[in-house]
Amino acid sequence: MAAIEFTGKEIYSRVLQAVPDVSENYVLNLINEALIDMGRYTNQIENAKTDLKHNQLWYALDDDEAITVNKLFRCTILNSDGEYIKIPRLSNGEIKQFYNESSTSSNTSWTEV
Amino acid sequence: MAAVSSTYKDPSDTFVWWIEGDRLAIATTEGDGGTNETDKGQLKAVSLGSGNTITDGLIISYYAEPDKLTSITGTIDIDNVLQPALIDYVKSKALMDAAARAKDPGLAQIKMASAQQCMANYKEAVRRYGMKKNDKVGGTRAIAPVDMR
Repeated sequence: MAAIEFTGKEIYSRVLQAVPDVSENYVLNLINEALIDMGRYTNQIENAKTDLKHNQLWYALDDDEAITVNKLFRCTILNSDGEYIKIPRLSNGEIKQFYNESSTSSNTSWTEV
Repeated sequence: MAAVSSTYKDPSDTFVWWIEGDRLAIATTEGDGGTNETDKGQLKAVSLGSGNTITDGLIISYYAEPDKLTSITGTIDIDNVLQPALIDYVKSKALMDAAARAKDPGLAQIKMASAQQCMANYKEAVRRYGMKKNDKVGGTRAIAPVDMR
């Protein structure tokens, strides 16, 4: 446990010193704006898992999924020994068959690990 | 939908991934294909038998956006070393808005200068040094010299 676990309240109390008349809701919105800006930089690394499904090529990474992915850098697949093995990225991103899955978001369910 | 066990011995040899827009593609050369173009050896979607899944068969690692703060009493989802930068960002925006509302031009100017200072602090902390501040690698970094013998 760190010396200080910051909550929105601590940020709010600091902001009040500089701008005395701001509301909590206004500061809450500014904190979320700051978090979105911080997400543009490589500060936070997370992992998530999902089921591998038959005949499904596409897995959704939209912002309305349970996870918010900015840049994906590693994929691993479960092998027969129960280990997750890193797989390579296909640089040209092209295969011969076309898979039209119009609703990838409803077919994908991520859980943060 | 039935859960099946993974039969892939070494997925690193037979699987690939790539990104297209906001979708991740997982393709493999293993298993049966529906046509000659998707036979064994050709890349295609995973073939497990109709309706089958491998539970938690895929794990991804990614640079993430911090979780949204839904309540002012909630804990903020970023590393502690970045909290001062967050304070600077919020103060900067609040001071900018306060400067816009100020009726006294002198006061507005002081608030604006203070806002710009806070934003400069934020940019330096996050954009220049953010990754260095919160990485967990310790000790000095060294380059092994070439052996001249």
